Amino acid sequence: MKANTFGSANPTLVVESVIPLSDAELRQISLNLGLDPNQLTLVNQKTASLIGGMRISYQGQVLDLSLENKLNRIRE
Amino acid sequence: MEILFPQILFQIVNFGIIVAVLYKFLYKPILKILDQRSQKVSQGLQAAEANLKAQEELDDKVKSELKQAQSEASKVVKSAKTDAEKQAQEILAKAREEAGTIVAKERASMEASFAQEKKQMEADFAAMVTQTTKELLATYLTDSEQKKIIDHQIKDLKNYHFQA
Repeated sequence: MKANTFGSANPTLVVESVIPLSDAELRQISLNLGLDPNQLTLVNQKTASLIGGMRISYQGQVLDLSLENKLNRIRE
Repeated sequence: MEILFPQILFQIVNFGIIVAVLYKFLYKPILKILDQRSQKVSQGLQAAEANLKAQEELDDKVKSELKQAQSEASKVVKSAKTDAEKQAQEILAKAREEAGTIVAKERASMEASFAQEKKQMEADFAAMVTQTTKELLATYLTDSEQKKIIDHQIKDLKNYHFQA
């Protein structure tokens, strides 16, 4: 697990993936989402069961881009 | 031949006496008996006529009452037949309605059951396909392929925005 800590008061952006992501990738993720990485605590969490893609959590909101999620949605 | 007037007179007197006696003791009783007999016959005839008339009146009355009874019986039978037909139609209509309700209910139940089974089968099939796909992806998706997917998704993140 990697973390960019800019103060404990910053909100946390958690990115789950099967493979580890670099800090640059995490910052790019926050930028692409329209969030300032300097005002966030960036966390990369390895989740083995997550297949094909990543799942991003931010302040109770979840953006699940994994293939597993897409398959589950197809099943539903 | 000598005619003797005294003897003739005697014979006449004798004949007169015999006629008087016969008239008195034979003719009158017989006539009386005949009158009584005739009267009895007449009475019998009158009684027979009266009886016959009474019998005819009785027959007419019986016929009239029989006719009335037949008419009433016919009315009763007709009424009963009409009631029975009406009741039969009501029973038939009710039975048809109940049968329709039962059939509709059974059909709805079968359709619901079929839909439920279809939904379950679709869910099972989707679950099977999903599980198989997951297992295949988990087995055969390499890290480089995972990386490519993630890189692609990072580029697409511009289409998503979290609420700050």
